[in-house]
Amino acid sequence: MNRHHSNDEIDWKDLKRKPEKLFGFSYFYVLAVLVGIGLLYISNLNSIGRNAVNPTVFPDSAARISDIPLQSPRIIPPVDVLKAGFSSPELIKQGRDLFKANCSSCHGDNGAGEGLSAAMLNPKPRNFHILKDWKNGSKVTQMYKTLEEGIPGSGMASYNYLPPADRFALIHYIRTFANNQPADSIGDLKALDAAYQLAQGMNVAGQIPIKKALRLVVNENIAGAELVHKSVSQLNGSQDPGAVLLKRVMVDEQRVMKSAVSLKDRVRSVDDFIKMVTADPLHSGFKASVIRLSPDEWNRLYHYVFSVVR
Amino acid sequence: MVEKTLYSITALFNTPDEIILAAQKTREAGFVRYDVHTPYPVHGMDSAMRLSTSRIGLFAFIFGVLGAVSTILFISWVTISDYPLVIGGKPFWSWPAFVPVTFEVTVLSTAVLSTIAMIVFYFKFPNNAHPLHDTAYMKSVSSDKFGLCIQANDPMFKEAAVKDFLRKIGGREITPIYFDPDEIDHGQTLFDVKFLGVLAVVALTVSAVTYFSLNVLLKIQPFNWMAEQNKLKAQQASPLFHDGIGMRSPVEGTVARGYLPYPFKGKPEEAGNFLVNPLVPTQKVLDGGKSKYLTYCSPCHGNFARGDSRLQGQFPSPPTLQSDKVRNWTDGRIYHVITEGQNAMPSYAPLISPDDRWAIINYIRVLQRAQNAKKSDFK
Repeated sequence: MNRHHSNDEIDWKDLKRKPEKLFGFSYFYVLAVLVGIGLLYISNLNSIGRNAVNPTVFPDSAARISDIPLQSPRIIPPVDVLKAGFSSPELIKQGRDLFKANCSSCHGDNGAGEGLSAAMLNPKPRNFHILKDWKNGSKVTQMYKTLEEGIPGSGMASYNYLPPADRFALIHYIRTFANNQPADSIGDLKALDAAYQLAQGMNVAGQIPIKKALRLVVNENIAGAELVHKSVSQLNGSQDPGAVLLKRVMVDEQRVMKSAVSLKDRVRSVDDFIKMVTADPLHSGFKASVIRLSPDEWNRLYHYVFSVVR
Repeated sequence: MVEKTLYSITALFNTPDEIILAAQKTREAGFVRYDVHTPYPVHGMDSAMRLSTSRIGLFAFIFGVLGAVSTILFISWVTISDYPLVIGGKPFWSWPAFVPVTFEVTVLSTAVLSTIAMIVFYFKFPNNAHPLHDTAYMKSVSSDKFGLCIQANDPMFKEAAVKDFLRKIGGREITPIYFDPDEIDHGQTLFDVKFLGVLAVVALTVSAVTYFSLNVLLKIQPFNWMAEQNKLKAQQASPLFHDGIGMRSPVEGTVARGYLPYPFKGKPEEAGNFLVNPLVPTQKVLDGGKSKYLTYCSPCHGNFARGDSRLQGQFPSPPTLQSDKVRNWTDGRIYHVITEGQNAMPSYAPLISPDDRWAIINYIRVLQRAQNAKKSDFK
């Protein structure tokens, strides 16, 4: 009888006879060791890359809208043109950051005129590496003129809101893209100083919180809004021939009166009025058929509308 | 009548204890080719019969190794030479990815092949009958009896002696089992004409059904009464119209509702001169303008219209709206830019309604006022 076989969990005698069965008791330790070896192997891999630096997540500015702080008007101290007009490593370094922030979206990171926006621009942005056919030239003073005034008829806007010192730094950095840059004479720099009154410093407008600006704008327009309201109610109750004519040719009395209120200083004659209305009748609240009115009717309309709003 | 060939002699027992005892005695008597059939697994039977370890484990091991090796080789061939793909910048032979597949195929091939091996070696496939099938003995042992079966090919087998022995150890209903005469001939039947014919019919039928279901059945639309209507679709011809074209142009000289053309297309200066902001900047209008500005404009122009994009260089930064140029523009001129786009800025006409555009302009004026405050504003 081998009864004890079925009673014992582990048959020690049998185990002694067949030691390979020991594996059944120890395989999970073997597995653990194998897993350990695997982890060790992976941690020593040369080809594996780990994030040494946490990924940068730009804080979404929509979540941190803060109002503009109150700031009185101030004057940025004048730059010494004779000093800022000549390149220095500090200026170039400062200019590099400014270039990235202000210029690279069109002129490209390396100044080759191949920024992301360049594809849409006509004419194409300047390639700073080639000194040929520059509209204003590439002297410091000439480039300053470009930054001050922009280049009309092209995508180049005026950057006159940048402080003059920043503009000089920017110019010096841009000039590093090409070799053999023409040098400015002392006279050029002095002429620049005189032309843009650089010695006087730069006036920076004051700032007020948006909330306050909003209140101011609303308050300033209350009178205009009331005038529109008053004009509309007067029109509705009026039997004046001009009012009758107006009601016949308009679709939106609010728009008619708002346009009239906005234009009361700009429109000085019937001709002005006709030009304004016929340019886009529907926009000013008139029916398209208003363009068929006779000169006499235009006259009546003009006098009625502007007598009401003035 | 064909002479019957004896397969074995069987005996039935009533209890598991009896059958264990009987198995032990049979083994002790020196029989080797015998088997025990019980309705359920009886513990202690292996040691009672002194069975050696089943060799199916060895088969399973071999099949497992074969499965694992062939899977690894196959995946390696696919990923290295047949269809190399860079996945996540890893090398072609990226073994950790092979582990799950290898594991699965190993388990699958072990299970399936071991089962097949068992059928082939123990049941002597392609034999699909066994003398014990359909016997009263098998019915009993698969219900409530315990059976012992001593095979005729045992070296110690003698019919009368075995019957005596079984009776002596307490067996009842001692019955001889004979081979089914049809099954004795183990000759090769694989190339039997009948078999091959059936095989061909099956192959043809399966191919035909597969072809039909994949190429015809799958393409039949169950309900087509919405997709196929008696109407004209874009680009379709129609004899109803004199030009034979199904698509109609709008009637000349009319404008569909909501499709008013913009009269100052390509004329920014005229738009600036003739378009007047129809909205009075009230609190309500400005609140609406602010919400639209923050939604549509601020991602590029910044929350304060300084051209300091909220997208932080992920998209080209536009110029500031605080410049003298934009501040001196009329509302109509700004409206023109929003409507038509300018340089890299696309048209926002499809996204922002005209009234919302005017409200946005009113809000831009507020932002400009906030950053170019008059002296009187500081009182």
